[in-house]
Parts: sequence; structure tokens; C-alpha cells
Amino acid sequence: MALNMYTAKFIKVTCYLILSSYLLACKPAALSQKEYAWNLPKGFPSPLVPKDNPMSVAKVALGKTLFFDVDLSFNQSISCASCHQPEFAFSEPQKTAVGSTGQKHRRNTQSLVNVAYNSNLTWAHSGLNQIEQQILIPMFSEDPVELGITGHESQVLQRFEKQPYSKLFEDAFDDSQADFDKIVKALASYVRSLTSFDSPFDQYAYQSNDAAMSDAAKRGMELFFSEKLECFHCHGGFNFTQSSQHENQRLDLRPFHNTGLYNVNDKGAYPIDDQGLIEVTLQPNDMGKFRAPTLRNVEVSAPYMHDGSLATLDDVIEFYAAGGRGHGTINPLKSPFLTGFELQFQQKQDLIAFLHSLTDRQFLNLNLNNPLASP
Amino acid sequence: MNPANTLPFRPYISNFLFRKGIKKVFIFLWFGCLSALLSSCSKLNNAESIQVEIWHNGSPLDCGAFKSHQQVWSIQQLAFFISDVTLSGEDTPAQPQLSTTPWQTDDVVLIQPNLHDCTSKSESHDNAASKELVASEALKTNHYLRFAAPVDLDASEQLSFSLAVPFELNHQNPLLQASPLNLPNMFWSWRSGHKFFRLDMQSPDINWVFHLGSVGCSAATTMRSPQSECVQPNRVTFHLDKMYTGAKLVMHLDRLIANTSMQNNDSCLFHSGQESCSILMSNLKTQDVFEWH
Repeated sequence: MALNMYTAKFIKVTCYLILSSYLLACKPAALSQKEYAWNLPKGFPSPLVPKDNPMSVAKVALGKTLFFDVDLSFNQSISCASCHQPEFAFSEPQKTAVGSTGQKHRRNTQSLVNVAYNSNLTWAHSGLNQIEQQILIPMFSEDPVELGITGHESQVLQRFEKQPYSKLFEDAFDDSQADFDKIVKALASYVRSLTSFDSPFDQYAYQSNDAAMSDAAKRGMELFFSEKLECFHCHGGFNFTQSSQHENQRLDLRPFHNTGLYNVNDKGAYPIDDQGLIEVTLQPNDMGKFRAPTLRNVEVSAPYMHDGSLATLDDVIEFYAAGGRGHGTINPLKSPFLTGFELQFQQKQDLIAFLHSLTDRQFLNLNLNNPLASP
Repeated sequence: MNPANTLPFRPYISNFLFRKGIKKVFIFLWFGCLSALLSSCSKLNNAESIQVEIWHNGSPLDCGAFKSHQQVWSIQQLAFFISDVTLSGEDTPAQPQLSTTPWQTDDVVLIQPNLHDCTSKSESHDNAASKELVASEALKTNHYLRFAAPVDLDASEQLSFSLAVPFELNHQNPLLQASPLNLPNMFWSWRSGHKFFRLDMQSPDINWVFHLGSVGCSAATTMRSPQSECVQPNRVTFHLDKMYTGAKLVMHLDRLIANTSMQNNDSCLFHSGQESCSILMSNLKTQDVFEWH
């Protein structure tokens, strides 16, 4: 009996020991390790993320704070969000962007919606396919100056060596010291987190909700996907741009097109200040080729085209109906899908209703309340 | 001392080389040649893939440009789906399983041959750079039909396939499908499904396009799938007799575009009433556009 009591005690103590060892070993995961949960509808594939910059909640939080902070520009005048404004789907309502010194950029600010899926970034660059590379351009470019950090590196970094940044960096990288590598990685993580898949079109197409789109929008959708209008040939796929990759799609596409916007010499040339992909590839056929941007939230991202030269969706439809603009209509390098078309008044309204059905109000509202100031 | 005792093997060598030696050496060489020949012939009893080549006027295109219809054409995109691959020989026809890669899924393969720009010169790369180049090329181009397990092409006399995506895979949500059935530039919509064949070409003056796929598909809207086969499925099936070893599948571009005028308004996107579509379909069916070499 005594032996049994001792045995019972021994078993009890052993159990406690095992249990406590498990409990003690269960130290909460460091914040930097906390995995990021993508905000995606069920079944949607996750974007590809570089191995050396995995997503984490803390990195996204740091990136978001940096994105809205004017301290990231050398003269503390603008932040990333000055041009990529959340209420305009992270684009801005002016033809072309203006940098921290007031210097004008030659191109229109692109929306950042679902940019994590882009296989190519910016308006026309076949070799630029990682957000971490792209972010270096607005940060360090000297012509045009955007944030203008070049030449002011230590001055800018100093601003992030105090609270709340020390804690944000510590949480994100287990190291409170700010440096540009960490800043770039955090900004990239934040813009990757800007996913938008809750438009009426998404609810109709991917959630099988027949009532999500109006009849006009459905008629417009038929036009959009018709061989008569050919819109979807370039604005194809779930992101309405051919330039998409994700965990189930890694193949490399070439999503650049000449739309006949210009033709200054009747041989297809674009104005010398911006000739598109040819500047990168030096291939004559790439004259005037630009990347087809996403049409998600296109209702709020006016003006349109690489130089912002079309003010409204109405203008854009007129432009494509004419098969280009001015001499651009006979640009020999123009995409074969832009032969022009005729639309009746109601059809045009339907097409615009469809484009409006790509607006994700929840996404736009979610990002509205961010102050454009230093934290 | 007899030197033969210290080196007992020497006489045998000289015997071999100098008495009937020459004859033996030649017999040895003959056997060597024969076995090399046999092994080179028979290596296709263990084939892991069939290579696809694009030819024009009887020879392979090594870059994406060629002359035809008084124009120099550059190929902007050439890609096509192949499914229902069947090999027939003396035994009953077999449908070899295809491996699963970014270019192949559910026994459907997307061919997108490497037709690089003819003006760019090949440059010497260091090892790391060339490895990177090969890796990035593998995501851009595919000119192989790869089998899941080795197949005996020697025993096969006929290769059959469909230039299409099967109906049951053709109209699904592309987001949820595996690569390559989720490529936007090869997809029309839920209702119409995939472009089975896509050829986009540009000359200095003309753009010319051929997109082949199913038409006359019934669904509530373009974002809904048809429940039954389309009026014109446009799936062309090929039965090709083996001409040589069976290692290559050749597509003759010139035979495909024969008899077309190759003008801007002569493209075929399967709009109603495009005359070029009937010519191109007829070419696919009758002009030996594909050959099994």
C-alpha cells in the first residue's frame, strides 16, 4: 500500500514536471515572427514574397507608419502617401507627380492596389519585378527628385532613431537600429498588404453572388470581355492587368503595349521625354510600350494613361473607340487589339458602370484614416 | 634467363596485336560502332520528353522573325495548348501521363517556344549569370512535352493529340486552376474558356493575330461557365505518323498561314464572319501543319 502511495506521488510529480516543462517552453512567439495573414477571399492565391523579406505583422505596421511619415523625405515635405493617396486607391488626382523639391515627374502616379501580384513594376520596365527594388527609386532618385534622400542619408536615418520607431523596428527586426535596408523591407511589406478583392465584380464573379452587380454593369462586362472591344486582352486576369504572378502562377509574361497615344513621326515614335519600354530594352519594337495597369478601383484613380493625359473614364473610352489619338491611330507599332469600335450612348454608360463595379469601397474606407504627418 | 618467364603476358599482347591482331582490332571497332549505333537508336525506348520545334519553309526558326507575304514578321507571341496525348504502336494505344510542372497540369501542356529577338546577339555570360538566365528562360518559354514516366517512342508509330484544353478544364475559375491553366493571356473568360492557340505577329506595317478557341458557348454572363459543350468547340485533333525517331514534334508556320492574305483586317479572333478563320481552320486540318519527326 505504502509502495502504491509512493508510486502515485511519483507519477503525480512526473506529470507536473512534464506539464510545467511544456508550459515554460511555450514562450510567446516574438512579434517579428508573427506570421502575416493575407486579407484574401477563400481560395484566392497568395502573392509571391521574396525569401529574404517574409511578411510579418510587425513589418507591415512599421511600413505603414513610414509610408505616411514626411520624415522620410529629406526636407520633411512629403511622404509616400503624398502621391499614393489612400482615398484615390493609392494614386493621386493629378496628371503627373511632384517630388519633395517641387520637381515634376514625367509620369502619372500609379495605384498600389494589389501591387503584390505585379510581375513588373512601374509604367514601363521589363527588368523591375521586385517591390524592394522599385522602392529605391522614389527614395533615392536624383532625377527627378522624389523623396530626395540621396546626399542626406544620415540626416534622414537620425529621425528614426527615437520612439515610436525604436520599438517598431525592434518588433519588426529584433533590432531597434534604423537602416535603409529595414526601411525598404518594411515599406515593401506594407504595400504588399494592400490587397483589394471585395468589389461588386468580385462578389459576382468569385463569390457567385448574382445580385452583386447591376444589370447595366453586367451589360458593360459583356462589352468589356467581347472581341469587339478587346479590353480584356491587355487588362486580363483577376487583377485586370496581364502582369500578375502568385503562388500558383510563376510564369513570366510580357505585359507591355503601345496604345497609339502618340505618333510624332508617323513611324510610331512617342515624344522624346517618355518613349516607354524602349528606354530600358533599346529594342525598336518596344517604342511607346507601357504596362497595362490594373483597373481595380479605376473609378477613383483618374487621370489616366502613363502621362495622365486622359482626364476621365469617358475620355478613355472615347480614346479606345477611336483606336488611338490623332496620328496615334495609325501608329504602326500599336497593339493589334486597338482597332477602334463604335458604341451607342447606353453602351458607353454600361461600360462605365462595369468599370465602377471594380471599386472596392471597403478597401478605400479601410485606409482612409491615416494622418499625413509624422507620428 | 628466359625473359618470357619474368613477363609472361608480353607474348600474348604481341599475339593479339601482331598475329591476328589487326583483324581483332577491327572486329572490336566494328562491335564498338555497332553498339554505339544501336544504343543511339534505341535510346528513345526510354524517352522522357518530346521536343517541339517551329519551322518555316522547311527549316527550324531559330529566332522570332521570318519573311512571308512580302513582309518581315516578328512573332510577338506564339503559344498553344496540347492535350489528350496518345501514342499508338502494335500494342493498344496508350495515353502517357504528363508530369506536373508550371507548364503542364492534368495532362495538358502549354507550349511557348523560345523565339528570341533576332537582332540581339548572344553574349558570353559567366557561370552564375548564365545559370540565372537559364532559370529565368524556363519561366518564359517551354518547348517540351514532358512525360511523368519514360515512354517507348521506338515502339510507337503514331502520335495523336488535341490542340486544345478539354471542355471539363476549359471553363473553370482560372484563379483556382493550376499553372498553366491560370495564365490570363491564354484565357478569354469563364464562358469562352482558353485560347487554345495564339499567334500574334507584327510587321513594320501590319499587325496580324490568330486566336483559336471555342465559340458559341452558352452561359448567363461571361463570368459564368457553360454547362454543355459550345456550338463550335474548335478542338482540332491530330494523328501523326512517325517520320523519323519520334523525338521532335514540328509545327510548320508557313503551312498554317498558307492562303491567307496576312492583312490587318485578315486577323482571326473568331469574330463572326472572319474569312481568315475558315482558311486557318482548314489549314490546321488538311495542311500537315504538325509533323512527328
